[in-house]
This record gives sequence, structure tokens and C-alpha cells, in this order.
Amino acid sequence: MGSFLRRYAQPYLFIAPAAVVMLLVVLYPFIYNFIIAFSNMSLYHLRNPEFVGLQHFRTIFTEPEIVSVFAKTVIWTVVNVAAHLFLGVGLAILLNQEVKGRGIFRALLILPWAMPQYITALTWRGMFNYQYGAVNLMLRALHLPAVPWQANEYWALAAPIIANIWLGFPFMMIIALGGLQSIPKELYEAAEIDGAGWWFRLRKITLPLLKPVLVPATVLGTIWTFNNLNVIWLVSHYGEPADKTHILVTYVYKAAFHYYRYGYAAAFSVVIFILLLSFVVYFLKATGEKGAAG
Amino acid sequence: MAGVHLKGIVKRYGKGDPVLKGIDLDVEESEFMVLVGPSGCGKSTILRVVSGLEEIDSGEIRIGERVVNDAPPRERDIAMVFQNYALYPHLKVYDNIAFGLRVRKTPKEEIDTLVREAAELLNLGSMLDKLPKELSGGERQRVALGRAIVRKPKAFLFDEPLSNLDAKLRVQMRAEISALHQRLKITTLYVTHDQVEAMTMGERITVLESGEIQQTDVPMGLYERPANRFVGTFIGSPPMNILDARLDGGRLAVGECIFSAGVPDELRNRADSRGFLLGIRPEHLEVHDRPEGLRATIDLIEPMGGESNIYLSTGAGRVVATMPGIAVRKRSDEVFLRFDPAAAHFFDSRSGVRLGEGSVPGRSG
Repeated sequence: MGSFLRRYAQPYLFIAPAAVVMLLVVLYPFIYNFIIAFSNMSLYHLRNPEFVGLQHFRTIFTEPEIVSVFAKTVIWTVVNVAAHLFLGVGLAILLNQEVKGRGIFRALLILPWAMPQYITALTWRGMFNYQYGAVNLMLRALHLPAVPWQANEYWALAAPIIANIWLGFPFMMIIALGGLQSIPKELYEAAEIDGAGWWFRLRKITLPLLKPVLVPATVLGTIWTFNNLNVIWLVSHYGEPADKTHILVTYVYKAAFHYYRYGYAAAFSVVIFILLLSFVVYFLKATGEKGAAG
Repeated sequence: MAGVHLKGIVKRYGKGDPVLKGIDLDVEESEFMVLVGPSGCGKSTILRVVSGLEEIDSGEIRIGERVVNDAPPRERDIAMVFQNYALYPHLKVYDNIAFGLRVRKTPKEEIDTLVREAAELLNLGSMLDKLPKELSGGERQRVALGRAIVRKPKAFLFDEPLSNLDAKLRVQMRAEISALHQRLKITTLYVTHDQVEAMTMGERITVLESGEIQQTDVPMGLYERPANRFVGTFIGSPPMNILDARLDGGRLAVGECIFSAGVPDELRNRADSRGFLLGIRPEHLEVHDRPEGLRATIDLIEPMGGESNIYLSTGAGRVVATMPGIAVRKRSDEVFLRFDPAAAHFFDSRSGVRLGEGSVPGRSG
């Protein structure tokens, strides 16, 4: 043991600061969350929580809103990620061509990403105001009916989705642009001489060769969107109308920090964690197998 | 199959000088034509305008009977092999070769027959299920060839296809491509910067420099009768020696040495004794010890095995001579150089244009 310490003391000393920080801010809260998930910790039992077993998990799965919140989470995630991919890849393909003022377009399109999320979210909330918001003013100017963005259950979910699409596509665009630039142009020239049209080249060359960068980006994008609290929380103003605009994480956040149901919220977090973990494992396996087969 | 005919092709990128300054070139049906020149001479641009990847500013491109100036690449029915192979990395060898046929909606059974036929011809039969990354450089190049021949195009365009291979493989692929052409007899335009490749593969060779054709001829024609100084020095390795020369009392003079060799009438008729250039190939220079001819000092000897390259300094400039066998001389030796005047070339010292060749037989001295 003594010789081992002497031999490896230095490298372990070097990684120690980073390791300590990781333990404190990642591992400790993660484990602590598991512990309180099985306790009745709340505002009443803050100092003297008791073990309650699976009680919270039973409550979660019998909650009347659970299905609707879960469905909204899936809609929120799928619509956002699909729109991010579609817009991001599409714009990247446009930007990858010789366009005049390409630098300006590129800068403008990255702008949404460069701004702090909560400022963007609050700005969008203002723009969705029924009477004075920019969106409805524009709709009126076009002689279209104004939309009750904050009063109707469905429009209230659509509003944060629109805001989040605007916020999120630049990330996909940058990733796709990087991927596109690594595709040698001779591949397109060879295909062009072979007679392949635009659509054929997109399907048979561009998309398959973008896959290696788009798969991890989609996984990341899905996790970020699934767990994106800021946008939906702020644009819907804490879940209005009447707590109808919730996804799983905003629901958990409200339970923990508005209703102080710490044990319940921790148990809910465990459920979310398991959901995401299963998704990632399944998705990587599915796309990986396909990739190997050609 | 069809010939490829270029008339007055001008191509300009942006506002600068044209890259192609009026190219006239006729590649006959079934011919193997090599385009050779230093980098930036416009040889690859010629391929790109023939393929339709680039548009021309003026002139006429004809493939067979059809003028294809405005036709997109797919209507020109040509196939191109790229320097970096341009294989689709996500597709297996089979699918790479089949790509062009699938684009053209060829029936499935026909694709299968054609792909296997091409694979057979190129010895790729066992590799059809592999991805390009699992192949060696030479195998990848053969897949690129397969992709070109499977469509049975009117013409092949090769853009420096062997540059990425090591020296040994290059020699082997050179022979394979030549053999393939012998078999298929498809009109071929082959671009290279390597004059050895040009000499060994081309039925005819076109030498280009700065966007202009310098000379088009059969390989030995270029070697024996270069149209100008550029062609003379570009074709042949080591390159042709160029020395300042003049007429002295009607006789050829180089440096302090006056030869009794004859010079072409055209040269003799030039009343002024303006200087001109003497071109002499390394293998036509004879290194010996008798004090006759041009005095020289050996700078460096490169033994090549079957022959040796001897680099020498003379009063008229530096030259290189090639001698059979291993040179017995060594550095700093004093020697003398002579040559058969019939093997000499003469060029105008300003324009570089060929003035003629030594014709009067006789010993130098």
C-alpha cells in the first residue's frame, strides 16, 4: 500500500480537486435525491423525515393529471426536437452553399442561441399577450383572429413550444453545418456526374453522412428539451392556465418549490431519470444497429 | 463511345486571368489522351468543363455528335475518376459500383449482372460486401474504376487517379488502367502532373502550361521533337539540359567551347548572331576524360542502379548527364562533355520556340 501510494500519489493529487467538486455537485445530490424519494420530507417534516417506502411512487402513478402531463411532455419533446432537426438541418444545407452574405445570415441565425434563455422566454411571454402582444398584433394586421395564447389549454402549450423552437434550432444548425462541411465535395460531384438529382443526393449522401453527428445531437437535444424548465415555466407563467401547461419537470418543480413536497418531488425525479435513461439506451442501440447494417 | 472535341474553350474564375485561354483539342474515339502539365496549368479544369461540373465562358464542347455546352453533367454520359476516389463511405463496394445505375433506374437484375461483371474484370469479386474503409488504397482505386466502367459511358475522365498511391502501387495501377483501356477501348481523357505516367500510358499526350496547349503529339514525338523549351524540359527525367549557345563563324559555340557540329539552316540564316538555346537530353551527353568538348566538374553522382545521374558544373551553366552502369568517377573530378549533334535541340532564347534540331552528322569537338 505504501509503495502504491508513493507511486500514484501525484496523479491522484492532480485529479483530486475536480473529483471533489464532481462528488459534491453531482454524486452527492444524486444519491441524496434517491434517499429523500423514499421519505416523507416536506415543509412539516423538514428536520424529521421518516421512511415511507414506495408510498410516493404509488401516489405518482395514481395522480389524475399524470397521463395528461406525461402526454404533454411527449408532445413538447417530440415537436421541439423534430422542429429543431428539420429547421437546423434545412438551414445548415442552405448556409453550406455559396450564398452572398453567408456570414451575416450565419450570425443572425445563431443569435437566438446567444441570448440568455430566461430573457428570451420572458420576451416571448410578452409577445404572446392577448391584447398587446406582438404576435396577436401581427395576426390582427393580417385580418386573422387573435389567439388566446395564455387562456386556452392547448394554445398555452403551443406558445412555449414556438418559443423553444426559436431558441433551440441554432444548436442543431451548427452541429449539422459542421457535419456538412466534413463531407468531401467530390462525393456530390461524382453523384452529379452519375446523374443524381438534388433529392437523390440529399437522401443517399447528405443524410446518411450526417447521421454520425445528428444521432448524438438528437440524444442531447431530447434530454435537454425533456428537462427544459425555463422556457415552458416562464412563458406559461408557472403552468397557467390553472396548472394545465405542465411537463414532467415543471410539475416536479412546482411540487417541490411551490408546495414544498420534497419527498414526492424527489420520487418524481427518480421516475423522470429512469424514463430518460431507458430512452437513451434504447435510442443509441436502435440507431447504432442500423448504422452498422449500412 | 465517342470522341471529345474542344474548340476555343475559355474559362475564367472571377475577374482574373482566364484559367483556360482558348483550348483546341480533339480526342478521337477510343483514344487514350493524357493531359499533363505542372499544377495550375488548367488540366483539371479541362476535365471539369468536359464533365459539366464547370461552365465555360466561350468555345464549344462536343462529345460525339452532340454539342454539350449547356448540358448538365448527367446528360453528357461520361464517367469521372477522382484523385481521392470519391467513394461513398457509408455504402458497400457493391452499392458504390451500383450507385450510378440506380440513379438511372436500371432494372435490379441488370444492375446485379453489370456490377458482378465489372467486379470480375477488376478483381473485386471478394470485396463486394466490404465498406471502403476496409480496403487498401489500390483496392479503393479499383472500386472507383468499377463505378466508372459499369455505366459503359461515352468517355472516361481521370483526374490524377494515382496520386494518392505509393510508388509501387502506382506502377501496378498504371499497367492495369492501360490494360483496361486496351480491353474496353473507351475514349479516355487522363490528367496527371507526372510525365512518366503520361509517357507510359498515353496514346497521345497534350502538354499544358498556364492555360494553353503547348503541344499535342504521340509520346516519342514529344520526346524527340518538343515544340518549345517548356515541353523539352517537362518531358523526360532527369530533364533536358538547356544551355546558352551562339554561332561563332557559322559554328555552334557554348561557353568557351566551339563545336564543329552543324546547326539547322534556319539558325544559320539568322544574320544576327543573337544567342539561342541548346537543349540536350542527359542520356545524349557523354562524359569522358579526353580534353575535347565542354570542360566540366562533377558536383554530385546519383547511382540509380542500372544507370547513374551525374550533375556537373560547366562554364555555360549546370547540366546533368545519365550514364549506364555505376559511375567510376567521383565528386570534384574534372571531365569533358560531348554530344551527338544530331540529338541536340535548338530553341529561341526569348520565346522558347523550337528552331530545329542538329542535323549534320559529325563528331563534336
